[in-house]
Amino acid sequence: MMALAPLQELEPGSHVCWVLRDSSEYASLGAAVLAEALLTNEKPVVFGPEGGARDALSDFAALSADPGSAFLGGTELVPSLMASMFEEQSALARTQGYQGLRLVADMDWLLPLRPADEDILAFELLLDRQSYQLGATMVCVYRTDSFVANTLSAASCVHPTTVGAASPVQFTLIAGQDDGWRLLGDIDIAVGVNFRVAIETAIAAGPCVIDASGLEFLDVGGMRHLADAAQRHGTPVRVIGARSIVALSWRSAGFAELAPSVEFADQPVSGR
Amino acid sequence: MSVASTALAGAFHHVHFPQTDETLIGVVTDYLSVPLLAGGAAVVVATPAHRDRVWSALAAAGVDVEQAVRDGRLRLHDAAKTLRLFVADGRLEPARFEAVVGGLFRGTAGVGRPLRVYAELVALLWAAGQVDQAIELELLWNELSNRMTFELLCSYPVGLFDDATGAEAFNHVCDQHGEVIDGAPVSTDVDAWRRFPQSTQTARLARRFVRKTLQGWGHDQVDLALLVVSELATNAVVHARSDVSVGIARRPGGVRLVVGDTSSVPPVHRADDVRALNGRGVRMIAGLADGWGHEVVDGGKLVWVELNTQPS
Repeated sequence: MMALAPLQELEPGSHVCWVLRDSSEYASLGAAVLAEALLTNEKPVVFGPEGGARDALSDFAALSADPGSAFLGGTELVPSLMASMFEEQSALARTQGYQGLRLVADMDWLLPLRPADEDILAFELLLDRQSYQLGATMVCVYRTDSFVANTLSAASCVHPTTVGAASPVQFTLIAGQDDGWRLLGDIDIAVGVNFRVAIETAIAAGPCVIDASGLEFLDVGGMRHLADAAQRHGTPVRVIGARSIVALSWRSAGFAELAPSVEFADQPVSGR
Repeated sequence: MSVASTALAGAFHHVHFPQTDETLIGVVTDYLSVPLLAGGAAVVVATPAHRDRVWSALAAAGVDVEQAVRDGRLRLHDAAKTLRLFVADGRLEPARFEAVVGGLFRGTAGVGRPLRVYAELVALLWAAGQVDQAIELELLWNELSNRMTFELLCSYPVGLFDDATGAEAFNHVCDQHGEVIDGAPVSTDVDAWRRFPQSTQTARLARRFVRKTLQGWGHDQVDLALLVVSELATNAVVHARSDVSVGIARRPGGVRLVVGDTSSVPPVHRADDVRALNGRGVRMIAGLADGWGHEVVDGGKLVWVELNTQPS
């Protein structure tokens, strides 16, 4: 049985990817997460497809819904609609006397929409920014019975915290201070596809600062994805706090000429 | 200078990591036709599909397979059924292995006939997630070789090593064998080396090996070495579609990294096309290294890079 500890005492604004191997644990652990809303004065919310799993947690929640049908019309995954919904619900919660939202989401609600892995990754990255900006606590539950390993990898790399995964998450790109992003871990061929989608999503959202103080390794393939995204969107990108080898190799490989909108600076930023 | 083989577990025990069934059948046919055409013996322990293809390929190579069977010089067995004879409740039984397999070999080889064996037993265990048992079986093969005279070829489909567990165990697999057939060449002029599979995990494992080795030698400027080995290993996996050897040699003030793969196509330095997204890895290495080059050798090529790592 999975230990409860990683899901206990979540700070408001936490965004967790919970890889659930044993579905029988969903109700008890999900209820424990929602119950802590009493301590944190957050509005407990449960999302998931209609049926037993969501019903089991409804007694612990002030709001229970299938977001696919309730907010997206059951057709496709549209991150901007979900973002608007979270802003509205967060504002509503505050008028009701709560300090924010605490959400447990059974991500099986995605299945009828049949999103590609890159759609899920982009959606979760933008959701992470929402979680950070609104101070909303979100636990996204991905069942191993429902999602294959590649999808789980795509989802986990854009969550600050992942619990229950079979192997360590090699890199993460998550929301940072002042509408920026934080990049951590190792970028190489093993995670190249996910990094390409993640950096593309971040840069497409507009001019940005990427705190790379937690970036341990960036290979040429990763540099290529960064340069490609910046070049195509023409977006100013400021990378701060990266190890000196990153800026040195970026210049040596000639990416500075190819993507002049990407600037490397030294100042690191503390954050999540 | 390079060698295409490693003298570790004994020259009798070979391993091959085929990318395709066609590659596998070709290697197995070449391996078994040698003794069969010379009056020796061969045993095939494989899946039914592979047994059929090996049969046809040996016949096409000039072996009178039907006569060899009648003479008792060629025997073909089902790998899964053979495995069940000495595996019970997920555990290998060494005494039964020796009795079953040893008895099969004694009957086939007769007196004085050279014997070569192709067996897919370890691959079946690995594919079933029984990695520890696969390694244990490799050890049993090596122990059997102390009591009998035969040559053995094992194969592991290259896809078995594309997860973290498999990739980590690849070098251990290679260590159980005296030769990696069609594997990446290895430089002899190095102080430490390892093999890595053709896998998305290879670059990470190669970096870990280089970091651990250099830090063990007292080098504190390792970032550039990690970048270089990662780039060369990635190129080998992606472009050469090859397993990879990584060697490190001590040099005054630094190190020499030598990365081997099975392609003789030289690394491409695309220096001038400022618009090109691809082909920048070698340009980066050329700009940061103290020197670099490559050597086409038997079995592929070796790419070497000299780096200043300022040992403490």
